[in-house]
Amino acid sequence: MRRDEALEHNALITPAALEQLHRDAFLWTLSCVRGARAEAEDVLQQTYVAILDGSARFDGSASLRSFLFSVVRRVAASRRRRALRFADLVAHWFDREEPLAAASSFDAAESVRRALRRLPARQREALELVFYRECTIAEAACVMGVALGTARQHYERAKRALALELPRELIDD
Amino acid sequence: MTEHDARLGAILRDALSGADHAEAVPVFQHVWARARSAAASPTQGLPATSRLWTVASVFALLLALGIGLRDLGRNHERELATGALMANLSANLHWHAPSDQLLSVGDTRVLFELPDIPLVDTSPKELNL
Repeated sequence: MRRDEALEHNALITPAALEQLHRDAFLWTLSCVRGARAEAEDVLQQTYVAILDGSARFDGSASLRSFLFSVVRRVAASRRRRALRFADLVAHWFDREEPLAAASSFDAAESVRRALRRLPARQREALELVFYRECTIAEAACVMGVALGTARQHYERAKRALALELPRELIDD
Repeated sequence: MTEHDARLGAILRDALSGADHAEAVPVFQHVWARARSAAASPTQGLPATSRLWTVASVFALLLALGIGLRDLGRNHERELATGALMANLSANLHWHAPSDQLLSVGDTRVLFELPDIPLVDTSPKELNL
């Protein structure tokens, strides 16, 4: 198959277009699986499978990037639900306790990432998509599979929650 | 966007971009090739965890089927009639019925006195056989 040839089950997508978005898609996947690299590769591969076999179909109503991000999010969520194991719970619990170890040396970037991880999943996603992945709130709503008003609510609440979670000196600088 | 939002966004971008830059992204062609072979045959090329689930599901199905068939076979097994079994079945234990229950369902029409029948000698000698 040529790189610029449309996919059999997704006439609006070409491998070349996906390749252009591949880096962004992988980093978003990594964020969806909380940084587990092997899991991220599996999720992204499964996302491409869904696009190839047409179980995820792009109709052009949103941007290809938003569509790809939303499929990644759905695949990651369904795998997480299936594979929710005791080990994950323990890892998640230890993840929350992490600040104790890192408190001795103040790392601004790490403290922001930790504050972000403490937010509810939807709020974290809204903030990351809008502030960092350069989506509009409408695109973020499409990726998250919620209505525009709901996405806006998550975004506003997330900003307030993150401001409370962050160390004062970071905000006031 | 307010100044506060802009500040928050800048803090977030700084924090996340550092982590992203450190990540080596897998080559698109490799992931794409694996995805294509997985799409071509649903089981081959699936992530290891998915294959594990498939194998575990098939194993559980076979196990359930085996247990079901074994139980079905047990129900259809017939015990051979041996001397000991027949002696057991003819023992009083097998023919005991509580008399109070029998009385409660008994038909009153059969409750009559049997007539006295004189004892008759039915020996072969008496019958002139």
